[in-house]
Amino acid sequence: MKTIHLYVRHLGLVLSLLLMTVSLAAQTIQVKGVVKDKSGETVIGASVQVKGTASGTITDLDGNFVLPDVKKGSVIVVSYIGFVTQEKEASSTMEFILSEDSEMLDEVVVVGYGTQKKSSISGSVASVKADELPTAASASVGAMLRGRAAGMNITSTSANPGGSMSIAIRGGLSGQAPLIVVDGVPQVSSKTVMAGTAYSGGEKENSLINLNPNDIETIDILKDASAAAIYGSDASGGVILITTKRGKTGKPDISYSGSVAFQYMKDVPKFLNARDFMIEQNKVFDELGRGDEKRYTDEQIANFVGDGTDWMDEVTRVGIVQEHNLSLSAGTEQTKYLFSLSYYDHQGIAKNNSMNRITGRLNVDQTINRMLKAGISATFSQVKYHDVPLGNGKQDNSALIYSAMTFIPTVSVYDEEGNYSNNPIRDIYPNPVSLLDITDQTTSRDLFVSGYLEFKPIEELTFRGTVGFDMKDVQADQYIPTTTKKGFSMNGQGSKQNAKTQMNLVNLIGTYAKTFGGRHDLNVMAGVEYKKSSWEGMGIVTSQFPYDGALMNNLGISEQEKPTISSNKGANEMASFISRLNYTFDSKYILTVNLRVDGSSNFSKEHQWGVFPGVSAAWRLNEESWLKNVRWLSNLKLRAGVGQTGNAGNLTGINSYYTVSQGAFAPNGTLANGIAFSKLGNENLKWETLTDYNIGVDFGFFNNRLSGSVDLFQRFRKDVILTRSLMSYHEINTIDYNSAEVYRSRGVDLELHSVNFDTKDFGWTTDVNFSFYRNHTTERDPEFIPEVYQDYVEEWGNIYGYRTDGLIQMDQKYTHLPSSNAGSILYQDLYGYKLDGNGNRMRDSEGRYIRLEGADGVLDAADMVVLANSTPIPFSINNTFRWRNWDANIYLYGSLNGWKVNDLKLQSIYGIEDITYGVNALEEVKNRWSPANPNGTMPGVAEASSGVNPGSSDFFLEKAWYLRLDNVSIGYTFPSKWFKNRIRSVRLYASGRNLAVFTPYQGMDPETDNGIGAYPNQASFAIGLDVKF
Amino acid sequence: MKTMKYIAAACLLCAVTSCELERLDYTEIYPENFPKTETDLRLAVNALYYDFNPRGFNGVFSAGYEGYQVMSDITTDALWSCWAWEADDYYYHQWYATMGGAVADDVYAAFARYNFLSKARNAVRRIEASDVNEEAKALYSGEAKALRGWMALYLYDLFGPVPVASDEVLDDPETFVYLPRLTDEEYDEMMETDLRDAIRDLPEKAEARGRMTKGAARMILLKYYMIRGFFDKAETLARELYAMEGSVYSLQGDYNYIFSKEGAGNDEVILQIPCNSTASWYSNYMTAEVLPADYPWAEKAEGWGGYVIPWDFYDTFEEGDVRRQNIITEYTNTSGVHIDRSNSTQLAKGALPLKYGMDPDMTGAQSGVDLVIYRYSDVLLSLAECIVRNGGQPTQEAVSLVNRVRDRAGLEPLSVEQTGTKEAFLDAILLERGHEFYLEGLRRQDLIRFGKYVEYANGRINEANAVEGQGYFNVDEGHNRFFIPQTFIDESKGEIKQNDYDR
Repeated sequence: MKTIHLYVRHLGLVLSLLLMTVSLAAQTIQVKGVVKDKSGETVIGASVQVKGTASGTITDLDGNFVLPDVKKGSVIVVSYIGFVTQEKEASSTMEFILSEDSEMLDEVVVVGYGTQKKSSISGSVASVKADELPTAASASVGAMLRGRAAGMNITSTSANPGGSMSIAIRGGLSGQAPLIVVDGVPQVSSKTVMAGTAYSGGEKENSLINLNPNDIETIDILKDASAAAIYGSDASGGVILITTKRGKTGKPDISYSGSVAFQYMKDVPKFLNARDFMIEQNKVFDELGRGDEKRYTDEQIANFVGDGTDWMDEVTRVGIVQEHNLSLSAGTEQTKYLFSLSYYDHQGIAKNNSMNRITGRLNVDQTINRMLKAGISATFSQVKYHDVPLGNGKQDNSALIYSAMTFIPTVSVYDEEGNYSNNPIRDIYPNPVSLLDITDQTTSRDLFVSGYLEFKPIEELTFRGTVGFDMKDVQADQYIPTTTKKGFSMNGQGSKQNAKTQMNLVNLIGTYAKTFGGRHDLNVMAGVEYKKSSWEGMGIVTSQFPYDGALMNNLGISEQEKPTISSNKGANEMASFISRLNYTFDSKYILTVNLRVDGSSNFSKEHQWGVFPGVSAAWRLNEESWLKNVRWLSNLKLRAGVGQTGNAGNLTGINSYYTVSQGAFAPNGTLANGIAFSKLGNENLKWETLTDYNIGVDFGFFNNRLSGSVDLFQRFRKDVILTRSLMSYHEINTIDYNSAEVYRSRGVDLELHSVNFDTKDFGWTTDVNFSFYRNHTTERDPEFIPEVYQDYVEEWGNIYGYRTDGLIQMDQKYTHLPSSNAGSILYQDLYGYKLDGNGNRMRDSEGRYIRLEGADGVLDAADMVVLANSTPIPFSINNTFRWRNWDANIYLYGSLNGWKVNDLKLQSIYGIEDITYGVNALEEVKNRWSPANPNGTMPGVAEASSGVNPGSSDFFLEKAWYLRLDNVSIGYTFPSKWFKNRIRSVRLYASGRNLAVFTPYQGMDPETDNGIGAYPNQASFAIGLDVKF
Repeated sequence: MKTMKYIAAACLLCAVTSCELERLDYTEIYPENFPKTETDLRLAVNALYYDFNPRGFNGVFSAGYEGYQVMSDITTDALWSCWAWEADDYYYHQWYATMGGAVADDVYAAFARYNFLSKARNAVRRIEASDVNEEAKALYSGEAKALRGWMALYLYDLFGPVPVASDEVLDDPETFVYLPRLTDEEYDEMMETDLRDAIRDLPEKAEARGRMTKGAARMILLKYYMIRGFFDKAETLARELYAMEGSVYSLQGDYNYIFSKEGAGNDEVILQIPCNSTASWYSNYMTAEVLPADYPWAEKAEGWGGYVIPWDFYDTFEEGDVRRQNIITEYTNTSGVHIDRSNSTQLAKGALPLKYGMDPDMTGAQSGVDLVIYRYSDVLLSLAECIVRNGGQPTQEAVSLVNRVRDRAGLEPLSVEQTGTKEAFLDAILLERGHEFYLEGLRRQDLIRFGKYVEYANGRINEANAVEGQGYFNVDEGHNRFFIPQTFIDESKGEIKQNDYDR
């Protein structure tokens, strides 16, 4: 560090001396100056030239420069990458304030097997710069990307540390996860391993968790098939291209960033306290007509001290997240490297629940000679989880959160003997605290290495060969001790399971780029690629342990007769030809043609190959002479594209085969295996195709102070690989086939970027993203018969069910609800079937039963209607502020539409009879209907025997649109002077994550409240430090 | 370097174009490799037994309402449940062909099992086509045929004849052939062909308990004949089984021993589902379904406290009947509290049929006591019934057969009145069967055979309507068969005709 510093100084000195000697003759002045950017930070290494001469220098560490002998009247030119070059007449002291190059359009965008200037992109590509994303308290770059790009809808499905996410690009019509390509090499998806154990932890995010967000430079998303076709059959879910940071020419750059965050549980529903629980239980006994079974006397209730045990409190805590990142990058003209290490640790809000990750990365680029260049990108990550039981289990299967919500509040955690207390009424429910004794560790390792060799025989022609592999390895260990109910009944259950996945890839790409006659810009790429993905795994699950002490680490002591053992291994191959033509005429007219031919071993020989083309064109109107002089218009580009991608699915469908069924039968009481025919193959299966049409416009006004893009798209999915029913009497009565169904997605993506203020001291930018789409099934198989309430062209996300009209009141009886008594939900009998003369139901031309408006005295499918549509409308607003050395950010995202059945409320109220077994219920049950509370709006005890599932009605269906205040942060960058320039910059910041959710939904978090025992979401408060040396 | 690169590129191209892309998955066993050996045949047959497992929605012997035994008993006077859900729909016969909900789901699951007939038939054909010694082929195909007959019996019992695919149809699963239900005669032929082969090829004693035997196959065919009313053929078969007494079967001295853990494999049992408390798919859950959570039982046992024998049926047991010993009317719970009808929802509804004995190793809901399917006392009572029905008179032989069963239960022989006429004797047999086979899933078919199933149901309905003010509808003889779910009728393009249901 220091030596290089000195070296630079010496170089400057030598240069100055040289210059001095050359130009002593004329009348000269000494020019001293400083170069800064708009925020007032000095610019180091900017080139300072005397125009028209060879003399010049670069700015030093303080942004200062000295030019000793400058002819009077000369022009000084200051330039620096990423900034607009400035010229000024020389004077003895000068200050240059460089403004950032507003021609943002000329950013380079990664498009798959190459890059393109943003101005010459004609497909639909969104880009996100990673350093604009707030990192505090986020493990996965996926979580940070929520709402960041229009057309990419990312939602967290579970709020546990490292919890799972769903990523849907443009409506997720393909049903496939997007392909994630890191530095040109696709990642293999990892497998979940835990199976067959009594408890399992939360769903985990597997796609992006292995990446250190601080390593990422840019994220480019290929949204439409005209662009994504270059990835052919892997691209049906869209493509996310991640480019990691690499070393740059210049002095070493060392940076540290770290933060610590505290997390507090949010939106936890209120359950009855002990006294209310006893009161409500007694009432329920009365309402059920079982008053003589009451458990508590009025006296006992009156004398109960305190509120009882708050089980949620017993199993949760304040969560802590801390992270530390260190990176070092440097480079000479020959060798550039970046090295980074990171550590991330998340102690979740549930006790004993944690996740931590270490990552390391080494990116090296080496120029060997004029023609050859090579490099590697290597990253290693290890993510360790300690899980707690989660999920939707009820009764004896209740997992941690649900059992903490519902376990009887009248007992304390431990009984007199110091054992976990039981539910004294019905001893089958697990004590929530006992579930914390479970050991559940998952370690997931990823080694992802790729190397390239680039050969450039002439300026225009480049050959690049890449080899890469991604090895993922997951080990899951679990032990359920005898202190838990399940563990007690099984004498402990231990398991060890693992899964390995590996992807090997080799490709060779040739690129030819040349500008002819100054106006014809041509870029041609062609190449071949081979990819092999393989997987293997094994697992043992066994119980009957003589003691708990060894956990799952000595499975041999298990006395179970036939432990569950399994292993598997498989592989598939894909070979591809890839090509692209990119032609730009006069910087105005742009044509891009992508073509990929994929062969996949998932299909039989006759159907292995698929061709996936993509064509797009763009017209840059602002380059036309008739618009060039319109000052307020800085960019206007029309784009149109059409393309195809394919999907081989996760097929196993071409082969007929048998599988082992373990423990199919127990002759003499000893389990024996069987082998059963389990899959009927279809050799005629072929690729699914997705065809995209996209038109868009990119615009920029007032020197790009207001810029953005609008894209309209339409996508069709055809030859959809589905499972079809054969006649039900067959041994195997399903087969995979290419369906005649057609799915369609239509929508619009809107991105706006506005620079509201941009002065020396104050800056404010606003970004808005908005997507609107609707998916439909437009065509069906010939044999398809719509349900009575179903449209032939059906919108996805429709929620069908019965309409309700409050509750049945005293002495009311409805013929269509023969089993419903007062206090039950009044489902509405809206329609009946139209019958012919023989009393048979009549069908319309599409085969659907005809229904007639008006009650028919029966509640059945004919009474179902579309209650709502839950298709989200993703939306986000990002505001970034800068005031002198302060910076601030406010980020909101959400969905403007959403509907959800409040499962927990449904379970708690519909299952109110369980309170007689000592299962606690939501406070809202106090508001249930009963003869004593005829104004209650929640269903009474009678609902449970109505014979109708309230989940398929609008009774518990709630609006669930939301807007989340995801980030509020404020930072201060200390002037480097304070550190005597030894440190380049120090930024200290504080941020609040997930501070508020605006929603009409009454359950837990509308994004992560899935099922009955969802992990509570958290608000986080973080402080962090970024230091650059 | 340049040439090197070109060579590399050329090689890669070659590699990509020339080699066929291959997929590998070791968990798939391809038809060219299976079945090839005697072990393979056994594995193929084991997979057929799976459908009869005592757990899971598709298992024939699930202890839930959808299981054959429970569905058969809970629609009669001899079983009820204190869980709301659909227990009352069953007990009071409140089902109809166009209904939705849980009962319809259960009926759907029961009918959907009819593809087992195709599965077993294909297994038989694969066994016969395999290159294994004839002896093994005969044994295992016999086992598969008996299993096919067993499932076919239950399907016929619940629904009447179902559609059955011919070999030609099975060979071409992708062609949609809309099959009507077999006629009764076609169904008879199928049953006789399969089961007569099985009786011929199966051993008298199984290599392991739970596997099919000659006697089990006879019992299945006997049950079918009884449903069909072929009492002469039934009598012949019953006599064949009767002849196996001593060498293979016997009447155990202690009734309760038959259903105990120690009694596993006792020679009264003709067919059972062997259970193991550590195997969740092969555990006896019937105990847990009955057992109250606070009942003193095995240390690690869990009770779900549901099923009961309604008091009016319980009251038909005679004093001193040892079969009543494990039907609990009151108990002292684990906290020392005395529990009876006055302070237990379950006992308020009926007595607790803890027929299956305690397994000290019972963990959770899983008990390791074998589920009894058929046993020898049924042979005696069936033979007695056949003799009377065929001969029109209660013979001495018939009476003594019944009295053997009564004697074992600690009861006096039947009275003169009870043996005086055919009708009185048949009534006595029906009641005896009710007491002998409670919780064994035979009651529904017995009542239907005696023409009482619907009559008794209407009795319960009328009483509930009168006493509790319920609005239950009355039912007719159509209820002797369940309805066929509309989905299957639609799928067959109307070839399948509904049973006798008017809505």
